[in-house]
Amino acid sequence: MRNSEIKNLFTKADEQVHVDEMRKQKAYHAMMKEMEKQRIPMMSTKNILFHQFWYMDKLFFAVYGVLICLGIIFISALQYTGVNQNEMITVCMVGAGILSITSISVIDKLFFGKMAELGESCCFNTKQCVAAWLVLSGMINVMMLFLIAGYLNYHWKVGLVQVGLYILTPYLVSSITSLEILSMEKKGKNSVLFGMSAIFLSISYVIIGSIPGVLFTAALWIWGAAFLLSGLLLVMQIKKLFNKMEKGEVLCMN
Amino acid sequence: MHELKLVDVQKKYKDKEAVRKINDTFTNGVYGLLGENGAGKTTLMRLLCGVLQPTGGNIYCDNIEIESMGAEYRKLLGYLPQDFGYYGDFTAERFLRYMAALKALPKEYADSRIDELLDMVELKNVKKKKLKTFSGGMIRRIGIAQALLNHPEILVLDEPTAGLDPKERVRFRNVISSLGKNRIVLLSTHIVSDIDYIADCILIMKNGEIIQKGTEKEITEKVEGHVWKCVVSEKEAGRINSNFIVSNMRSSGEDVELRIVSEGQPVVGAENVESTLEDAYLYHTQIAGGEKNATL
Repeated sequence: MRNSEIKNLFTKADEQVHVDEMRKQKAYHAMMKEMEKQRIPMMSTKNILFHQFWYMDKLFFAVYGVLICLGIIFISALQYTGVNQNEMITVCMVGAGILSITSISVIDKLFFGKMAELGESCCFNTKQCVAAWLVLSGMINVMMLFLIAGYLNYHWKVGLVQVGLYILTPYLVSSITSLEILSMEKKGKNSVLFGMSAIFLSISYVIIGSIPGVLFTAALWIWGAAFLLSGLLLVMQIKKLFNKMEKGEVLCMN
Repeated sequence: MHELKLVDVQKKYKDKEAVRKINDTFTNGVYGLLGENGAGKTTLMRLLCGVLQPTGGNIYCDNIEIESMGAEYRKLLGYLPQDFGYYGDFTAERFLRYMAALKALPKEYADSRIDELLDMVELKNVKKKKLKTFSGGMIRRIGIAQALLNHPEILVLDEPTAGLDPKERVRFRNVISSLGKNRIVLLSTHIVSDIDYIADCILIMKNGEIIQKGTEKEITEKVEGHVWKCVVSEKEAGRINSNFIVSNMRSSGEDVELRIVSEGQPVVGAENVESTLEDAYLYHTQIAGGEKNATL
């Protein structure tokens, strides 16, 4: 007997059996409920994140937190040493850059280490962890940058837009550099690269800040253009990093 | 029961093709993947776990692409990478708790499961010790425990027995054998005896391709008549060793007893003997591939 003939026989037989749709649905739901019971319970995304951050190595978070506190203390102390407005803006630019590099180097330590491959096979994978940390650290950093901007605006009477551009541009440039290091697949050497880039960029910001007229209102359009360009590059950089993570090679150690 | 299907799966790294258009299907059972270092075993395992994306073809779980299943697929998965990373300052218990969190297991469930698994891998009495103080075998055992945390229905173990002592190997084999009854267990190794007894199906991989697939019996049967045993002088043994695949060499007084894998009789007086999986592995990876002369 051919398959089509068997199928026809079954179809005919089914037609003769009256199926009560209500009972069918009831049985289906009971079956689904039973299957659900047999499945291992899963936590909600919020709880997964909470538990993950609770159990993970918090040393690097501590370093990040200590740096933020030291930055606040340093800037507060600096105003009593007789620095001028431009010098203070330059210090804040350097601070914003270091803040960005530190928060991204946490990703390297926590998610891009040897555990990345293992993490990638878990329910809440490495890519999602990195995204979660980028959002969380981004929120903390933006809050810190707002504090710095508010301080410069209030104490040094620098316009908010102006100060926003002065500190956000170095922040974005440093973020682009750090993300580039993350996607370079040079495992184990990233810490050195992060340190070197922090020093190099800090020196660059000091040099830029010392150029006469660079922090004048007339030069604001240059800052605006640099801000937009680095913002665009950052979006592209994040996309590039996530594409590399999607492929997986950047997460595998050997 | 789940079905894992590979359709034309390929992985290229720039100019190197690590996995070449593999087509295969896995259902419940223990699958042993044998191959030399660099054969593509680890890449294939990473592809199966979704850690790497194939450059060609697709992997399906119950006819759904694993990439589109995302977390739903990873919930089914238990994975032990070849060189799995850990934070040295974590205790065994904390490491498993962290992994349980990554696997989205609720605390109460994780607690009981961690106890159960620490007991199973005999690390319960060192659960408060830091991982950096563990030996290679203990690290491997904790790795196996983390892979089993979520009662995986697809278990992928890359070189799981590396660093385990003989007693641990035997116990591990028994655990794997029992796990394979109601799930897909895929384990890779280059140690033939690891899978000799427990694998329902053996796959031999070479240069990114699966060159042989079958039960231990089916694979060894293919080399019947190609395994020889002879006793020769030490000088003759050296000559044979450089021309043939010698699977075993044992000193016997002044002479040497050799076990040779060869298509033809290697020396006059050599007797045909029953083949083992190790002989078959050597035959398929070295002679059948044309790497060594099969005859004098």
